[in-house]
Amino acid sequence: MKPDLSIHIGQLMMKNPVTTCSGTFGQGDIFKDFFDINQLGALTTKSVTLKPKNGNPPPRIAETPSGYLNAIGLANPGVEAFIKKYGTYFEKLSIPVIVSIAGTSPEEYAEVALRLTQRMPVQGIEINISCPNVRDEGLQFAFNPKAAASVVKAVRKKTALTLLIKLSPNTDQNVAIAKACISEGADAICAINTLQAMAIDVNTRKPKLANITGGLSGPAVKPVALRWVYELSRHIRVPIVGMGGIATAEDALEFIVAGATAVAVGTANFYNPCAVPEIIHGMKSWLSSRKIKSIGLLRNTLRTESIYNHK
Amino acid sequence: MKSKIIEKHRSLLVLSNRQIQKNFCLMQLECPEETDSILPGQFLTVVLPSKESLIPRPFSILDAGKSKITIFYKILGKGTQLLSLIKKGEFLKVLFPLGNAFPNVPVNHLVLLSGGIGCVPIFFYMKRLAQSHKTDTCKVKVYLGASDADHFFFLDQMKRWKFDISLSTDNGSLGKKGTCLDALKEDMKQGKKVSAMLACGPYPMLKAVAHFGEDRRIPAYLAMEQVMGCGFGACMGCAVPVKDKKQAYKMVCMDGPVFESKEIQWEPG
Ligand SMILES: Cc1cc2nc3c(=O)[nH]c(=O)nc-3n(C[C@H](O)[C@H](O)[C@H](O)COP(=O)(O)OP(=O)(O)OC[C@H]3O[C@@H](n4cnc5c(N)ncnc54)[C@H](O)[C@@H]3O)c2cc1C
Ligand SMILES: Cc1cc2nc3c(=O)[nH]c(=O)nc-3n(C[C@H](O)[C@H](O)[C@H](O)COP(=O)(O)O)c2cc1C
Ligand code: FES
Repeated sequence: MKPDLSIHIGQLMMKNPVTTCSGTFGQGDIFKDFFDINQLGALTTKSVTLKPKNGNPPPRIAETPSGYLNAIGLANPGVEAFIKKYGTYFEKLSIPVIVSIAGTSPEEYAEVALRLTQRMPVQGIEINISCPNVRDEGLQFAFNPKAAASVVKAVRKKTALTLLIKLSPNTDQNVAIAKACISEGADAICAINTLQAMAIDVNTRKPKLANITGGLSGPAVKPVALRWVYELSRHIRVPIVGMGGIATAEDALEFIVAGATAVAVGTANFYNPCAVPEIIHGMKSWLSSRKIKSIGLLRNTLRTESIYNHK
Repeated sequence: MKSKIIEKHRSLLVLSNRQIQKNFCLMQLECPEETDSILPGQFLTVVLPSKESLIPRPFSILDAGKSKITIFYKILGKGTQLLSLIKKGEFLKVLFPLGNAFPNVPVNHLVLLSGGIGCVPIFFYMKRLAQSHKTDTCKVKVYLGASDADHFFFLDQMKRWKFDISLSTDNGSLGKKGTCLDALKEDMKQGKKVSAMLACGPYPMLKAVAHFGEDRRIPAYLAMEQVMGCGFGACMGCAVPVKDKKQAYKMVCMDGPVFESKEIQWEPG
């Protein structure tokens, strides 16, 4: 039996529920030496801003137990160079492309979205309001429902593409933020971005990152991400793209059980460049060995009853 | 210079892994595929057999050929500690060859400089030179620097290749007292000519070589390091500041690890 892995998010038709985490897959091009990118359900690219951004000084990466700490600082060539460099490449792909965007004001996000919509073969836009590594960018929007919704509203005015909004784990406001964004036209919720964190070398008493603080990702954050997906799925109806520490097919399936429609693989790509095809393959065999006909049948099937519950 | 990247994650058999000196290990990996195309200056990354230490560790290639790849590493922290415990017969996930390589520059009056563990790609360059040139007449001089007499590696092999070699130590326990660059400067006072420099070593050494090269208008090519997240251009982690109008940083894993000294922005801008 071949299980049906296909899903859709807004207008995005995905043949399987696996995409990439923004900023962990380049623009996809680098991975072509490892596997055919067209195996992905969708490609999600590194956040792009209106103007080019240099990013933070090094060191930008440090290791923590089962995790990565990073402060890249949204290094990207800016939307114009991005369109020039990747337009024809995206056109040749047979899968939907989701471009992640970041900015400092709703107008800036909207301008980037407009240029992408008009001049690039793009199917979805992921609004990154949650990068912890730039002081001026985004974060102000990540902690406040009204501010977050103002970004979605501005972007929605300029594009009819499928809109995803990516939430930060560093707030307790996410249910309210998600609801506010959905009411302004967001088609899906992505959770989560990295956790604000830091690491210190006690011998030198220096922070391990030049930026002092950074964002934590990788298997260490998976329980936090799962809980957010579960929490959000109980309160909202639009599809959720679950991410945070996914490294195996079982990890991905846990997010589906918690209520995610799709999943994204991030940090795992760095230490296992073939993680994505392995996960897709693993999900297929898991479902077929249990005779589950489609991935949708697994979604939101968390069993919370307890044998000790005698109320 | 860029070679074709055989970017595939492969499980390679560990043929040997032993400490040849306290905290310095030599590891040989079996590689049934083409190894002759691997170039001096290129590196590989190793995934550690650990669920806790996830970041692949980068190491310069010391030697490649005859279906074998060799690396030489210093035990520094958790990752290299773990690596040192790997036994012959185990398999390691390795990605290679990564990065560019030292350029092929004219050998006449070429100078190679190495500080500490920086001898790794310099050794490989010497080997390839020895295979293609008459080393005793080609006027290449090698300046090796170390903290003390006990920290020169593979000297016997280097001497067998008949290079003109100068040794210097920080504490004067062997060769000249001072750095390898000090030794070169002294030779130049005696009239030594230098056409180009290839160097690998700690950051302060590379910076000094770069400044020296710029003052004397001698091209210098430096193998640089940076903490890496992936090793193949996916994370944008391994940034090094450059003097470039278009970009403030280049990536050590993709644009390097070898840079021409004048590309690098040494002073905080
Ligand atoms: C292109 C390149 C080639 C290298 N070649 C060699 C080599 O031939 N032999 C050798 O002994 N070492 C080499 N290194 C350095 C080696 O990668 C680090 O020593 C190693 O990753 C440290 O791991 P650890 O877990 O033991 O140390 P950690 O506990 O992680 O760190 C110890 C110290 O090493 C630094 N470090 C950690 N990760 C890296 C990294 N990825 N790159 C550079 N520094 C790092 C840390 O900032 C810290 O100061 C090379 C590095 C690069 C980038
Ligand atoms: C090196 C690095 C760069 C990242 N860059 C971005 C980015 O540009 N935009 C964004 O929305 N998220 C970015 N993220 C966050 C990831 O997309 C993802 O949300 C997070 O890492 C959790 O997933 P993971 O544990 O699978 O990596 C980045 C993460 C890492 C580790
Ligand atoms: S180490 Fe990831 S881009 Fe260089």
